[in-house]
Amino acid sequence: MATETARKPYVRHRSAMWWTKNPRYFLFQIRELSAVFVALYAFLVLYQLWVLRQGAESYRAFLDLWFSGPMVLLGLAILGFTVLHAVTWFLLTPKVLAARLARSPASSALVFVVMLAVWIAVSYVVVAFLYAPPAPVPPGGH
Amino acid sequence: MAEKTIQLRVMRYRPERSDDPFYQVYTIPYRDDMVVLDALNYIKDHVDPTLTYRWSCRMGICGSCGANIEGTPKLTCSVFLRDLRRQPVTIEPLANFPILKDLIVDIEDFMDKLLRVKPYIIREKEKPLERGEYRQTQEEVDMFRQQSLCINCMLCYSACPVYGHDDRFLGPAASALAYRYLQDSRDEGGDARIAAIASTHGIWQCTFVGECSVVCPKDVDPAGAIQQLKAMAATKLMKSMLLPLASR
Amino acid sequence: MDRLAYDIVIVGGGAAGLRAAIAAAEAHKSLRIVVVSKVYPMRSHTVSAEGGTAAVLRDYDSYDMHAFDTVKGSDFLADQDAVEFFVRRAPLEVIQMDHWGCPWSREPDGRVAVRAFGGMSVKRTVFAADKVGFHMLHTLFQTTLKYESIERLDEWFVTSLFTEGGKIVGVAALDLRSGTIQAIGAKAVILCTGGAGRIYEFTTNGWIKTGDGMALAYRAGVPLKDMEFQQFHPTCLPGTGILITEAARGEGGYLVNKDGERFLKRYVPEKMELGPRDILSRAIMTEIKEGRGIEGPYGPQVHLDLRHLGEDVIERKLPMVRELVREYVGLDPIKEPIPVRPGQHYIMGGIHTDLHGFTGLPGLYAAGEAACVSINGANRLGSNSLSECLVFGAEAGRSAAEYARSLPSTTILNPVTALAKADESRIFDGLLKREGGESLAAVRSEMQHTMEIHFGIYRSAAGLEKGLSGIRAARKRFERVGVRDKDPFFNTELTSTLELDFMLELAEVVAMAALNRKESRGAHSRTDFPKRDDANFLYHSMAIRTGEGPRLESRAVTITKWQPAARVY
Repeated sequence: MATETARKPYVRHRSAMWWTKNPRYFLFQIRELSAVFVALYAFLVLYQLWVLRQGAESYRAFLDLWFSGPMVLLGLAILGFTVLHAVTWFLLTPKVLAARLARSPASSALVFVVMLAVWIAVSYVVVAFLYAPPAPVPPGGH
Repeated sequence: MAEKTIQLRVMRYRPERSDDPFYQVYTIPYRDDMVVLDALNYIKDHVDPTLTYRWSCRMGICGSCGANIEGTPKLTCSVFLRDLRRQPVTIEPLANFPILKDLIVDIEDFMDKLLRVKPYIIREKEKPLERGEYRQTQEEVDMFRQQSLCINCMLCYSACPVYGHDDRFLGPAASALAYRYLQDSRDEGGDARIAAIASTHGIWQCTFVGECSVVCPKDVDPAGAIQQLKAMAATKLMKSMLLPLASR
Repeated sequence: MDRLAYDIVIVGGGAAGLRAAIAAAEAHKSLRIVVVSKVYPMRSHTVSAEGGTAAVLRDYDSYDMHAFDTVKGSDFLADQDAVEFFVRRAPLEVIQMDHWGCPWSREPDGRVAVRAFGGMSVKRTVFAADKVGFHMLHTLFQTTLKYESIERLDEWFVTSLFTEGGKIVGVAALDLRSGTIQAIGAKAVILCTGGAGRIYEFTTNGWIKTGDGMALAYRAGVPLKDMEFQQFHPTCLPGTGILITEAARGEGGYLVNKDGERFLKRYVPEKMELGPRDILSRAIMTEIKEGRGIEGPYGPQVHLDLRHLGEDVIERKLPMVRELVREYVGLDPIKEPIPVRPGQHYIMGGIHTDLHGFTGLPGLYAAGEAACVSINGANRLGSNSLSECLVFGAEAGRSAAEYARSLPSTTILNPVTALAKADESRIFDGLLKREGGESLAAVRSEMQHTMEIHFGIYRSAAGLEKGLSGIRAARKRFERVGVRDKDPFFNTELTSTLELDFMLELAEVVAMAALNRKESRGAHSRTDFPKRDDANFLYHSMAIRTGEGPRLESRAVTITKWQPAARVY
């Protein structure tokens, strides 16, 4: 007689280190982590504005902190993660666009290049604006 | 001249022998034109007839023979032993699925999900057959052709860390199939289908890891399909909120 | 044992089985239908078909033209009433598939496109790139999901057919995922299990093509018709046996020998590469025998040259051919010719049915490659098989539905349960417990090798006799094959053993039928009887099971319009 085998399917549990198994998983995790740094930067800018409101004294203290060694390193990390964040975002954008637009590898590459170019252009404008020499004061004061 | 051999390390699951899976190493004769499936068949025919696995067409179109080879989901009929660098070659059942026996996994979850995306042409009114086919240009066919190539091998589910974490996720293949029908000019079931998939455990659970598209043997690009579904679902929602009458 | 009962049980979930299920579901909503398949339906061997589906869809075509091409292709053995029925139904089936979402390739004006195919006098083969079987199977499978009345039992291996009082009452099946034999009561059973290419060593067929349904019907007393007619497809990849579709020739590919010569001009000067498969396979074997073959790592072969078609045509019309050749041969067909040789591909013979899919045993129907209506006679034209699955799958579904509705709705479960218990004992107490001494793989190899050597493209009395004894010897050896995997759960060694049992039975039928046909017709070529002999052999062979092996009878060919004539291309 056939025995009714009480059969339990075996469920394997996924290791917590699954993201170390291949470079793409690893890149994915870093990509997701980059959002934290982008958000962190946003908070730092808000903090900067708030400190500015407190007055010249506290702003000078902020600048001392901002240009200290550890903060520069953090700044570099934020820059690195933000670039990664933007570049991976631009690479994925063609996939989200309507099928007709992103049909060929050529058109996907074009979307990436256009987005990158726009980002660089906007960044240039912002940096130029921020670091433009101050308008000369007309003789006789404001 | 000694015959060339190759070693395979295969994961077995035999509850009558042990509660947990275990590995068994086999050494078999090697030929340059062997694929992993040939090796499994050799083992079963000549070394260990108890080794159990699925296969049929041996040409990469039936989707039966998925397995994790050296940690990556692949079709055993399409992987040449000569392309594998490490020995012993480790062969395990497809990841993220419960193991039934040896390399056989339970794919019933996928079969249920297939049903959920309504994978058939939905039309309000059918044209009588005598009046001929629904005219469709080759460009219109190309709109869904890529996603229609899915062989249901489920390598994508094995590669997806989201599915590995939560098997309620609709998953790449089922989503790609939904996209295939939504893009088919003959289909009119867009609303019903989007409603079925634009849910928490539907397409929105995807975080665009993209590994599914990397492992897909038929270049279906389910990741791309899911992102476009997200765009379609979001657009539809926006339209229905801003133009409630027009979206009927 | 669970108690399962349905109005219609369909064995096999390929194109024919799924089409039958839909037809039955549409015939009447109240019918309970189940598709029982030993694999998930998406794995059915329909999936590997590449070339196309033939139907009359153009003004330059006509039913008579398609019918005549088919009858001539069959070397005048096809039943012409069935062929006429077939050609009239095929076009609407193609349109129906379009309505169900099949991604047919298109003409610029949006109509379903057609291409040339072997033995077809005009372009009438509808196609979906070069993955027609894949697209048709998935379309049909996904469409069955629409019907609540169609249930499925996936990975259930049918082991026996049961009759009571001269009619079908059900089947027994091994539920792989529980490791138990189940009884399934049925008013009607439709066998759509496909062919049995795996009786051969070199075949395009997948592992699952083991002729289960043919053997089941045969054991239930239904005759197997025309089993000697095996189709050898001219272009298979040496070594693996993977099919390279006829469509490659339909799009303009050339077959060349060692001298780079398009040798078919000496065999089928008018049709050339688009001649019928039996003539082409013989031509290639002759070229090889006469020393004009090309030596390859797997023996002699010829070349299929697609280079002149250009990358654009190959990518659009033959993408899978390119994929397969690159992967399994390691060369690119746009740059180099493809090595090919003939291999077993299809069985024209099968379960005897009429043109409604009825086998003669009340309640039992068959369709697809498993059945022999016969529309293919002694040789099948490429792209007729998928149309056949649709037309006769639908017809068998409708016939079974009508029959099931005509029966009272009394439960017929008890006799089935008892009969299934006997099968359970045969398999679990008998087969599974057997220790034996013979290896399954060795006996199977012996059968396959015997078939390959003696029942190939060219046959002769001496070879056929030797082959028949070889098969009988293999059958004896089989009795000592043991099953070493004693676990009843998902036991593929057990199912392989059951399949070998089926295959050995069928191999003997093929052998006897081949021996008895002392003529050459279509795909059955005898060097000792090289001519077609209409006077003595214009009949279908009918093999009926007896205690001493197959008993052969004959059945007249139905001729309506076309008297047998010389078959020249």
